[in-house]
Amino acid sequence: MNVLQVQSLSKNFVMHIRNDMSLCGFADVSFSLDEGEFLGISGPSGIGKSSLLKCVYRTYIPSGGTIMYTRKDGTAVDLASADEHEILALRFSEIAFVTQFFHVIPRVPAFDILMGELTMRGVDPEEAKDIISENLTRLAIPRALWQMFPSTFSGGEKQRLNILNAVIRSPRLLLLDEPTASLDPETRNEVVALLQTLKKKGTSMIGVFHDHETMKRLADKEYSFAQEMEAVR
Amino acid sequence: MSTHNDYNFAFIDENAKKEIRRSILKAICLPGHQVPFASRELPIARGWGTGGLQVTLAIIGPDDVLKVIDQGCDGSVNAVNLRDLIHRTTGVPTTFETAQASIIQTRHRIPELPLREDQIIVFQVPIPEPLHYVEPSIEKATAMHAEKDYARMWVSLYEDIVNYGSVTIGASYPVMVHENYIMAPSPIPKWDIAKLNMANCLHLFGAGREKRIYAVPPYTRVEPLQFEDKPFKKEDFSGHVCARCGAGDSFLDEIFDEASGGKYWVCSDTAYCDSRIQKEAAV
Amino acid sequence: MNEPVISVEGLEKTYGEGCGRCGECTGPDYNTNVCRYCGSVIALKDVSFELYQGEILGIVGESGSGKSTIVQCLYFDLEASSGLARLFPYDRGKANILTLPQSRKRYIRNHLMGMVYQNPLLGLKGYFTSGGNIAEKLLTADIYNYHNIRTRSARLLDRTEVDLEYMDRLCRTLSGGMQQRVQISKALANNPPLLLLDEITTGLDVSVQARVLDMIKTIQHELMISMIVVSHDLGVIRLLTNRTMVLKKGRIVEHGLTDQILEDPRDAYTQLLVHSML
Repeated sequence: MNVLQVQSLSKNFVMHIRNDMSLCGFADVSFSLDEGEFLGISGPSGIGKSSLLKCVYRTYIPSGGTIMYTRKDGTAVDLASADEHEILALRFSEIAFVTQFFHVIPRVPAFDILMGELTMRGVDPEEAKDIISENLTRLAIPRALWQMFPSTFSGGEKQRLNILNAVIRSPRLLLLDEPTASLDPETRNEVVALLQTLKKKGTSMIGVFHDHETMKRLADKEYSFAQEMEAVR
Repeated sequence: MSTHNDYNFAFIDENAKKEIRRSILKAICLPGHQVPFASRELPIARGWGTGGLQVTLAIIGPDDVLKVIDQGCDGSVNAVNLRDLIHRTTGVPTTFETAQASIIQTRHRIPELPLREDQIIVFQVPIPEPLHYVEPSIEKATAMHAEKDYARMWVSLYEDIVNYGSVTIGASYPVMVHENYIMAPSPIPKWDIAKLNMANCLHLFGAGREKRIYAVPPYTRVEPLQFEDKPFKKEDFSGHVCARCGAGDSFLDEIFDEASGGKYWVCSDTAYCDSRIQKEAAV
Repeated sequence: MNEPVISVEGLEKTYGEGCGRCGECTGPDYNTNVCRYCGSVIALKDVSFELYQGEILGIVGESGSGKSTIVQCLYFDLEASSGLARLFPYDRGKANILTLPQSRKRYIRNHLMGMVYQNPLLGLKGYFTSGGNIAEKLLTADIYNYHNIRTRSARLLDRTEVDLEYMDRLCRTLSGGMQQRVQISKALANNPPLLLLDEITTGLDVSVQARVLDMIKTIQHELMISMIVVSHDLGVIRLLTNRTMVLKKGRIVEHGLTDQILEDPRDAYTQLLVHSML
């Protein structure tokens, strides 16, 4: 079943405060994604990989093209033009994004952050505790840190928490922006395994990776910006 | 003593009486609601009962019988002077006996003897606005009455219980009239509050300095503000009786006896006390 | 999630006579609020938005942009000059709440909206205790049982992390952070479907700020209450809100999802604002 159909998507930015300077993010991107499929996106820095993810999540408003998303109930919506309430509802129930930066309210313990994500979606608190404990253990986040604030975490620990924050909700579509960038090989394996489990359960994913090796282990297909952009040029 | 013919009957002129009567009628129609009126200059100072006096002068007729009390006493200075003034400008007979009077003007008490349908009791009121202590602005307080916005009044009771364990208001305990308006019953003791509820007589309240008239008609529900689980309590005189008449069922004044250095209690309502002594003597 | 709680159309607030040409010489394009023909101050014009159940809407803008004026008009602290505001929990959204009689407005303030001001003593009475302030709200809902009032106040204060020992202290003797928590408790006392927050963390030091923000977020998760958050602090907006409106000289210059406003602002003024963020 098709989940996402991206057609001739483009994004450019107009900087009004720099004399209306126009920057091209990316242009004419098309791909499709099925249920449980993993699309890897590769290409050199600054070519627009992250921008593409942000357009799908609607953090960026696409300049052209369509992003047809098929909801759980089978109805389709164009994420490029859907109204804000619609996007918020989808973000709440179906689409999650692991960004490179993790913004949380200061001085809230890591465990409580994850708890909030689950309980606000109606998960029973006792059940939520089990899910979170299991996943924190799996990603080798020391138990001593569970009640600590994320601001005290190392870069790698923060990143894993960020991934968990999205993964524990079992979204239908998961967007990943460099999820394994600062992890050692062992925890990277754990993250890959975690994502594979989620994939088997039917979650479709789009991931941006620097590290081609990791991407190959997860991706069913690849969208290479370099080649496409070459072609466009 | 004869009427002073130089003055109009009951001192104030007929047009002024009409205006006061209109305010009284409006007050009766809206039980507990304060109606403004043009308080007149009188030969006594504001704050000495001019509100009650103007109400009495506006309603009194040649057939009335007048009783005036001050804190339950017919013989104290304020009562004597007001009674004299009304009597000398109207010629109506006066009495000390509650049952005989058709109009009773009072300062801070309601007689012990239950009043009848054909009697009117007129209260002298210093501060007519019950919200005065929680809302100093009259304009805002008026809006609060209009919208039945009484939460803050209740909070003042709540805070009393928090700080002192019970409501500490002594005299002028706020009452809810006809489940509609909160009213200051003038500084009568809590003992007298129950007498206002479903009474047979008409109650008129006059505040001369504050220029307000309000009323509680006969057979109107008047209830003290109270939390469901913190019932209103009136003064407790158990263990004491009146040193003069031996009454154990009336509001008692505590008196310091200089001679013995001790204390004793007597009825605040002197007419009630006297009548009991007379009855005793007759037997 | 898919029901609107409040919808506002063409909200306008003018100080002065207004002249019919006010609209053509004020606003962000002219960088002024003052009509050059009649001297009126156009504090708000053409403000329209919808807020859905469980959503948190941020309003940002510089001082004097009119962001507080919006919530003050909705909470009836200020009288809107014109506009239509429908509050769906009230009369199923049929009435324009801006033109209701005072008593109905008071009902809405007590039961359907909560307001938290930057200055806690605007929302609290300093001469009452913390518990008394909350009791005032509960009493408007006709709860006349002293014991019930006490237990409910205690529970409300507990939710905003106010120690019970502060319950019977006069509000004016409490610290700013503590007053702010009491104020939030009071605003939530009658479980309103809409909560308005006007620069609530502005006067607080950063450690208290963090606690208050977490509290608001937790309460929002628990009660699924809708909120409008006014702040000039984009950090607060990012952490709390789902959607954001950017205001300048009384007009909305841009609105969108909060992350979109912060990462892909399209309006020149919003770009300036976002790129000035520390």
